Amino acid sequence: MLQPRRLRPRDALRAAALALAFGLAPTAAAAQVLPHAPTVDRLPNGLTVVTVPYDAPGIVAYFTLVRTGSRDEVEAGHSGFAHLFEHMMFRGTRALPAREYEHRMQRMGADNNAYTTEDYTLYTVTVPTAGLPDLVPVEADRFRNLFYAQPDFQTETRAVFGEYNKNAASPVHQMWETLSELAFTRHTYGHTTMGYLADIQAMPRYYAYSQQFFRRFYTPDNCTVIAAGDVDRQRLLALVTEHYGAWQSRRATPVIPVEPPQTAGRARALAWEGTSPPRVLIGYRAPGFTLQTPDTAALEVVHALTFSESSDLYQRLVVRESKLLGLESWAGDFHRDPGLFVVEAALGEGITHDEVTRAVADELARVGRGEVAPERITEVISHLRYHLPLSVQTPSDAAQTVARFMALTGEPMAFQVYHDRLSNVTPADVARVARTYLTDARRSVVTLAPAASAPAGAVHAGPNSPAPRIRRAQ
Amino acid sequence: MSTPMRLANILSVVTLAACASARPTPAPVVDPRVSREPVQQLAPPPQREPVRVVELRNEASTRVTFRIVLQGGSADDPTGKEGLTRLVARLMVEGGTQALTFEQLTRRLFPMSAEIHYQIDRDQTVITGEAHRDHVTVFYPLLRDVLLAPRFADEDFRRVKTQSLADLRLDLRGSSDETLGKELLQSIVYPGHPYGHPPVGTERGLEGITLDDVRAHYRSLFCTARITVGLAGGYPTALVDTVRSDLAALPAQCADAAPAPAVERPHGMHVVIVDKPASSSTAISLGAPLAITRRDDDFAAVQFATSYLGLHRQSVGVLYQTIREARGLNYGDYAYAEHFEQENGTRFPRPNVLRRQQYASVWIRPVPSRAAHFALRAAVRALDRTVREGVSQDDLTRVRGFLDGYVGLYTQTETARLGYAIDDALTGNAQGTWATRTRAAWAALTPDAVRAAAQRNLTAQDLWVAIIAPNARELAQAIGSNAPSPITYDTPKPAEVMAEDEQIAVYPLPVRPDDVRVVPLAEVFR
Repeated sequence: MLQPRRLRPRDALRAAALALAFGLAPTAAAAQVLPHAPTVDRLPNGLTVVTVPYDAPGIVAYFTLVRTGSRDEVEAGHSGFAHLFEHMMFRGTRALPAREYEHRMQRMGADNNAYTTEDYTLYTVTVPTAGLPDLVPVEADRFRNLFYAQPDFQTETRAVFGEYNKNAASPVHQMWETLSELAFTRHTYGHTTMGYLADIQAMPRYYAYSQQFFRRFYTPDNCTVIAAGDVDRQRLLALVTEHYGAWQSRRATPVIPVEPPQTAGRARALAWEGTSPPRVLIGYRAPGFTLQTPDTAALEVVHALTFSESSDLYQRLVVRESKLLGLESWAGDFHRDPGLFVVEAALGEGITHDEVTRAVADELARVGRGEVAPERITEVISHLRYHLPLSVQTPSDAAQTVARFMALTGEPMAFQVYHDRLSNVTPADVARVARTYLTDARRSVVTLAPAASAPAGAVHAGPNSPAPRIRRAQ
Repeated sequence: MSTPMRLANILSVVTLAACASARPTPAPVVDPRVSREPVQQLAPPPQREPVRVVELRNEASTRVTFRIVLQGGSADDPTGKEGLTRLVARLMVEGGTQALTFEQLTRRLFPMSAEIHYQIDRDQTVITGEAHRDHVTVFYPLLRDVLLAPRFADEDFRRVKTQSLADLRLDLRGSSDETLGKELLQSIVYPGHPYGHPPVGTERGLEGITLDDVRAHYRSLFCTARITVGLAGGYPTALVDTVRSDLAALPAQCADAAPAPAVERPHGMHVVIVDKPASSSTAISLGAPLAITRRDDDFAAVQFATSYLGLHRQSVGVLYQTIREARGLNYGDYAYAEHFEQENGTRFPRPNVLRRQQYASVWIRPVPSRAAHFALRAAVRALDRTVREGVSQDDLTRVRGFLDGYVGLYTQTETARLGYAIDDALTGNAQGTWATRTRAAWAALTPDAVRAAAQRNLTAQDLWVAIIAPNARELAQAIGSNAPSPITYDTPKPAEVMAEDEQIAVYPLPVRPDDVRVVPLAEVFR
């Protein structure tokens, strides 16, 4: 086992300078994301175990991170499979079939769920600490020995279809589906985590593929157990070693297609057969998450600087001129591979899609030219520095924070390193990343208008009829 | 189990003015099985205390949390001004103060990552504030001015009113059939009642609101008699006196709460179907008014029965196991013994949505439209069985074991603990926390007690049903005629499921053809 790693020493001077900018006393909390340093251990089979002390008497969040998401869906016709597989993980084992698994979890009082993203799948169980000795063997069993019959698999695929239907009522869901495909011609980020409707409808046929999926990715070297809250590290390690220690397999490494550079802007218009304000979704090709350069942290500053409620653009278009009903950007939406920096707007009266797109571009160009007051960037960094620690309120939040950044980097302490990086972002970094990445040539734009007022050539779409695929299934 | 929702968070509410008036509602009939107690009021604050304060100070906390809870909500909207209370709350939070414009206020809060929000339900409105304790001395005066000196400027009013109308007309109609179904249900459970319109209001109500209405309504609601201040976290002890002293500037008394007369169950099943051709699936909510609230002795047993039937977003329930797990017809199916709002980012119940009256409900998430009639039958049949048979001793033990642990998770955050403590103060519960009291009540339950309480309070016969469907007329015809609704699957199912399907497909719903109405989507919001 590894020796516990400790957080880097705080940079007290940096924290003090930041706080003094607001006449405030510096504290440890703004510098540290979590109140107590996590410890990291690794079993000989490659399973990583992160223990996160957190003051929540009697409660522990026991999360399992699998570094597999829709990014790994490299075979044509199998979009949405990582998410479907997340559902299958609740279907039991030979030792503990689904109903008994459910009852065992219920007896512990477990809040038991999971979610899937492009890059990872996270299994999120929160239980009273007294239930941990019961929980660890049950969790180990399903990760090692998942077993489900074909009819159960097929039934679960229809629950996923129900989830798609739930989402499909939202026009933004379909805009995101279109934007992904528009921006990525080869990389698997070209399909959403939910998957294409046609692929979801075909899922019942792929029982054998689902078993293959389990063998490929549900392996100790691809998983991390993160236990946060009222938990004793030694006791946890003893339990995990006992129940996961004999688990032996290695993660498959599918070849993720590399996306060629984008050299010209792309656009697609949707005509919506339903009720919605006109909308625009803009995606700029941005680098993958990195701690090696300031770029990810600097782009996060651009998000808050340019599109938060406090931004000039928001205050002008939403507040003063009331031309937009809403404006936001998907801050914190990090990806392992180069992904998208996304801006979203809902249009009110007196503004066109082109005018919104141009206003966004002009504002980013202004940031790129360095025409932002340095004190404004200091304010944004302060916001981000307080935001992350304030967002952690429960053991579950703490576990999720560790998981999210580890999923991107493989490093359990990445959340803190990233937090430290934010303080180092300079006005020059902010201007450089805006100038480099947030340009018209790297942009894809999806507009949506009610069908009655959509431009000629717009592609019809609605909750009943997804927009046709841009490219035929490969 | 989900993909993360980072897409635009849409809104909350809708109304049904047109639906309620499209056809007269059946005359209320007193159900002899349900005893009707006088409507209960929330406990008034003691006379000697100018502002009621609930404190949960925690020296170790790095944050400070405020919850300012107003005994007043959309039920206080004047007739013809539906949406006014929400507009007041939103304009307080998104309209700046007399000292600072909204832009200036936003820019003061931003470097601190401090936040001020509002939530609103029928009888309660909450202004929440959260900041790092480093900043409490800077943050509190901003929050104080939001409460005591809102700007109420014309340009902000026009913006917020336009956004509220768009919330009503565009987002809800277009984006969430499930939320629409839930609001439709409440509108038909409470016809002609202060609870009968959602907090966002009605289109006509919002259009008729003026800035003078906003100012007058603020004065009529915000007085110390109606306010409870909650403070939690690492705040300096002296802050409490400052808050008390500052809020003493509000008038001591203001308008009386709007009366909320008891409503009766319908006779038989009454169904309203919103015709929404663009929908890809069918959303269903059903329910009936309750004669009890959480302040009554029967509540713990009734809540246990609905949790057994379908605890929110958990797989524990009969509905979930029947409709989703065994048949894969949708994403989930749940039941409630009181109005439920999910706290952001969790699946736990949000505090400070207390009501003087409650309703029991079932939420069937969107099903393929061909299976809507079947799913409705499956849900009503499961409800009926729970009411008639209650729970077995094994199920009682199992579900109680789950709930004992699970309710302890509701109050993990400082703001949740504070919210529940405020609810306790307002309902006169001084003994222990919500979780400990509820666990104690559940510990005393027997199968007989659960069944008896379910039979006294729940019904599978006299129900309101709200449906959003793309094939409304066809579905109305099928439901109204009690036509068989055989189900087929494109995936194999076990023999026991197929056998039960045959029973569900012909399960008689207590509905007459005249009790099924179809309402065009465009009329729902007028």
